[in-house]
Amino acid sequence: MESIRKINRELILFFKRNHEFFHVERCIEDAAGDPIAIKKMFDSIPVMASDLMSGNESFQFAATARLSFLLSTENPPIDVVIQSGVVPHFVRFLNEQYGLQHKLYSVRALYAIGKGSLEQAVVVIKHGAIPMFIRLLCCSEECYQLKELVAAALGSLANQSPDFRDYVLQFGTLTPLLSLLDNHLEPPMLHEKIALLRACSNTLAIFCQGNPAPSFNQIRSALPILRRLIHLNPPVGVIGEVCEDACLCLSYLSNGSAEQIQALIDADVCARLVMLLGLSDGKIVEHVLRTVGNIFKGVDSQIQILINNGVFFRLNAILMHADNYDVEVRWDAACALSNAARRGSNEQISLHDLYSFRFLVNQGCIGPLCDHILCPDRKTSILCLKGLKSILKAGEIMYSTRNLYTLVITDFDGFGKIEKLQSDPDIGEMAMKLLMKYGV
Amino acid sequence: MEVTQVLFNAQSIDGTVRKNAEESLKQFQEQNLPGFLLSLSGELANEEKPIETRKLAGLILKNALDAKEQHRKFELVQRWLSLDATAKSQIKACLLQTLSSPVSDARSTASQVIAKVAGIELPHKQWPELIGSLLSNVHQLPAQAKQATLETLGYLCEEVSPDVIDQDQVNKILTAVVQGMSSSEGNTDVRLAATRALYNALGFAQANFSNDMERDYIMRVVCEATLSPEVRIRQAAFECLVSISSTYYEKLAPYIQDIFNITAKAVREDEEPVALQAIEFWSSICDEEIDILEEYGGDFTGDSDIPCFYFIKQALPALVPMLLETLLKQEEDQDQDEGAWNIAMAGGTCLGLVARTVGDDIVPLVVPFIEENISKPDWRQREAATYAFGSILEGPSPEKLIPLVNVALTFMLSALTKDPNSHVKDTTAWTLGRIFEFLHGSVVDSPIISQANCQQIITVLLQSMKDTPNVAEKACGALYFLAQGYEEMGPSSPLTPFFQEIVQSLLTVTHREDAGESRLRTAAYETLNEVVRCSTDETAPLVLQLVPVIMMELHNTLEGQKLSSDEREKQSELQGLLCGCLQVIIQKLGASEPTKYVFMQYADQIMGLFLRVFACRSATVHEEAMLAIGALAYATGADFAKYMPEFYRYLEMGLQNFEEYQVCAVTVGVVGDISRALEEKIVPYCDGIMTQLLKNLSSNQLHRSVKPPIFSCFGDIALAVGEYFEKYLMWAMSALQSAAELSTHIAGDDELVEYTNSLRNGILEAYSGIFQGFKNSPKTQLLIPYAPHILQFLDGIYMEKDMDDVVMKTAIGVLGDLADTLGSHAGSMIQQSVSSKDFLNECLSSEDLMIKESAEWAKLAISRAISV
Repeated sequence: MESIRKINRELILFFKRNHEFFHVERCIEDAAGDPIAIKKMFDSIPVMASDLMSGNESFQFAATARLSFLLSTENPPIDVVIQSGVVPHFVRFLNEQYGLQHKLYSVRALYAIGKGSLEQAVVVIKHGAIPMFIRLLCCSEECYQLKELVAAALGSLANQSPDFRDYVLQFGTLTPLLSLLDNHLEPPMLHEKIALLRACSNTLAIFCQGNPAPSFNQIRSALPILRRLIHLNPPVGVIGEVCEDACLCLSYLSNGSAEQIQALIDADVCARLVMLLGLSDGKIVEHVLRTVGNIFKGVDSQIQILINNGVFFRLNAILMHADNYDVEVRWDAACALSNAARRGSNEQISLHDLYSFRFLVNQGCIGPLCDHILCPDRKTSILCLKGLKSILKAGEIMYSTRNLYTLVITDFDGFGKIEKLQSDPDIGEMAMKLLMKYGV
Repeated sequence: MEVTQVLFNAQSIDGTVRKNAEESLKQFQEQNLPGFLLSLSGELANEEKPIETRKLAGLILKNALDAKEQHRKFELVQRWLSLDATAKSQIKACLLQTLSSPVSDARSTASQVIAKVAGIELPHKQWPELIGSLLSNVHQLPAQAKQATLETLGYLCEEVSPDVIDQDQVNKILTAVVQGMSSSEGNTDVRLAATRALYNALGFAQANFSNDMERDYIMRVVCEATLSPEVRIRQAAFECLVSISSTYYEKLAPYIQDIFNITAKAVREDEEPVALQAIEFWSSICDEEIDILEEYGGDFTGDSDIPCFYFIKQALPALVPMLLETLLKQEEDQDQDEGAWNIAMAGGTCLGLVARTVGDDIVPLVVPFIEENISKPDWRQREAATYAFGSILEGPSPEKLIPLVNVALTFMLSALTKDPNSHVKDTTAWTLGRIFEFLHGSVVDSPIISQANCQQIITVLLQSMKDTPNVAEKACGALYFLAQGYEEMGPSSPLTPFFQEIVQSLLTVTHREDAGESRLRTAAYETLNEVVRCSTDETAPLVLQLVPVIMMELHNTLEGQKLSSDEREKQSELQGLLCGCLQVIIQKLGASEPTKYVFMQYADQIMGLFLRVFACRSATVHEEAMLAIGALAYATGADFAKYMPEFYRYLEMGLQNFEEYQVCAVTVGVVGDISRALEEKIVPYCDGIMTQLLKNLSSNQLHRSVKPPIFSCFGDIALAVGEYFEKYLMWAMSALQSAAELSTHIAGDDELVEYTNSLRNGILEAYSGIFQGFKNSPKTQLLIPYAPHILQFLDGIYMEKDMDDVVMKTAIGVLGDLADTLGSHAGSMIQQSVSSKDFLNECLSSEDLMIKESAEWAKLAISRAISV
């Protein structure tokens, strides 16, 4: 009895002394949305820092949990946390010997800091988080949530700037990311699994974007996976978002040389892309349109592939039901057409296509082009001008006596806007030529 | 007042006369203490008075100077010290004078009183001339005065501690004593008195034993005295040797051969009291060497200042045969006498100690003896062989013993059923118990019990439980260890198939008519408890079935009315056993959720029975029932609250029981159990409990051993009620503070050091409980004023360097609690404290894992406290 008593007494003391640890989850729950509790927690950042530096794993855990909670609040105290010197400890807790939950909180904290300013993100990288992240991505255990967070954290770092992105890629981050996607594409699609896919696809999209763009060779290995991702069915909900990310990736990857476009075509994505144009999901359609538009900038044989897959039928459908789509989509469709028009020769655009072209133009394609003539983005401006030029050219072929498209463009005050571009040092000349040839 | 007549009357056969006399003595004492004591000493010294009154006068005088109870003793000492000096010196003169009395009883009484006075005065540097005047007598006086003086010196050495007497006087005392012992002293009584005096004076002879010549001389005289023609002198001389063997073990090497020869002769030829002491010498050497070797084993850095001389190992070839011979000197019917002690038993005990000292080496020396005697027709030989075997089962390695046991087991089982002699059966059952105790269970690699012989073992043991009480008691003991060995053997126990049968047999034993003999009933319940404690989930339903059975037994004890005091005592004892059994069952069933759930249906009824057990007595509470209630509180948790209204008065009664302080201690423990079970639901009872506990602490009648648990209990209550403890904070803290001050500076024997450490631990546990109880409440700042004193206390015990590991662990935890609860308020105080840092570092590098863990937590708490 005496020994039971002693054990019980010590047990209670133990629980009280480690109250911090045993009640951390409840404490965080209670503090959420309670400014006073959050302030109190904020004031004890030095104590938490002291806990992290102690040898006591329970207290390290509790402090990590609290800090990651604080960093997830509005106006996270990122700088205070960094100054308390805990970042290297977060990285250290990613080692195998620490528990899954501990790693989760650490990654969450690092993710939050990595999402902060450039200077704040530098701290995360400086303490060697990236190789640890990659190790976690590679680990054989099925810890979906952890890997999801790690993928997101890597994405947030890469998202800081193209330099950051290239730095992250340099560690060989892409390979484990792709194999994660690869391994988790099979059913059953558990909720956690889908969330992990989504985080990976999102990060993959971040890896593909930016100006300057990443070296194509560095990321072309993503194409087979992207092909599988765009085939995910049905592309709705989170799966739809994954598909959307993949389409976004393809739109970036297609924005380049003919060689780059050929890589896409070789990856056998075109048929599915054209099919996706039939979706009602505006975002996916938008990305695909951009990709299609980019491919239209390619060589004839590449464009032919799209045409073979019935791209015009899809574009036609989009613009026919233009009300179903955002202006953006209409604009992207128009751009695609613009590219097609600009690139297309008479042989390629059959008479039937020309008629549908006309039909499409009549259905409001010129409007968006005209709307964007004065877009502050120079590239868009140029694109609009070029598209309108191609349309006018097509009009010439179709209406030998009177180019009806000129009238439509005038209706949208297109020429008025083009006039305003005349003084532009870069595209002024092009605008002037258009006005002189087609202006009324 | 004519004191002689009163003293005479005080011994009258007539109760009234005696009572009147006692009353007037009491009055005299209260009205005029110096006069009272003076007339008593005068009576003692007066040669014309009758011996009866002189003796009684001396006895009353002695009782006026000393008492058993600590607080009473303290009062008497203070009273004597404040007595008028003239009276005191007159009394002392009378006492010294009496030493020369021709009446032996008067001398002897005076000796004892002088020693008591010396025990009070010498530590206060009073009566400096005492030893001188005693010693001056020795050389001149007639033999009887000389004898009385030596006796006085002996008592004096027993009474005062060595540091009170300076070395010069020690030398003189020893010289006088040793001279009195030497063979040149012609008077036997003087020699005996001197030898007995030396026994007490040995503790003073540290310096003399370090001096080769003096030591040689003392040893020579002691050894000579062991050869004296007078048996009492020989016995006293051997007692001296036993004492020397433990006090001066490291000085024995030059004499050990001679001592062996002397002891061997005494063991073989001398009268029993002498032979027993001679055996005791070797047992004592074994104890020393076991201690030293244990310390070697535990810590190779060699904290032990005393090296092992391996006396036992060296003496082994001669020592073991000598001890084996003693085993054959059994007494008829020794088994029936519980207090029996004889040469055979002493020899067997010593053999067991030798086995523990030397381990494997003893086996080849004993095996031939066993083989030769185990099957002899003479029961003495069979019993001695079995006893020898049983004695060496602890010490040697299992590898060495298991082959022997495997051969012997079948033989033993058969002897236990078939041997015609009860002695042999008794020892055989005991030996089986030892086999199961030391060679069965998870510690042994190759099990001695297989599925094949398990059945047979149990059958034989259950059969033997029907034998004579002494054999049955040993069989219960064997079954106890058999069950214990299967503890933690996994989900399935080999005993499972026999569980029902074992329980039934044990219950049958408890109902035997003669179960009161040889503590058979107690043993049966102890075994039943162990069988239940070590049972597995498989037999949980059977344990559950046992609940109503034991409840019914307990119920039956409540039926008898109007019992005689003897019957009442027996009833109470049986209730104790049954409550103890229920306690074990409650703990067992309460430990896992499914069984606890089923058990709970009995909780109300069981509690009802316990309350009725309490109601059997009017003034005191039943200790075992109290303990069982503690167990019930753990099982029921906060639901225990429903029993509190009825139970509370017994709880209070238990706390008020100063006489039976164990009951009080047990109740204090149960208050802790209930606090943990009820948590804040104990609040309504806290006022009463805390008031009583504080009262207990301030009482000097309560046995001191209850005070540390009371402090721990403060901690338990504070942990349970949290900031509500505010109400008692001031009182509790002040009690803690004064106890803390008392426990910082100690000088005394091991027992006092041990007590002080338990007191410190209680105080520290209270602090931990209070601080952790208040943590995270808005009232923590109430504790700030107490922090400096606590830090000072920690400094104090750290500086004293005599805390044990338990205190160290608790103390360093308190340092952490202080920081944990008070945060930055404590941080700076701790940083400024004298020794916190050293203390913490010492604990951090401790080899004791518990201390280290506690220290690491404290370190963490402190760095958190100073981080803001």
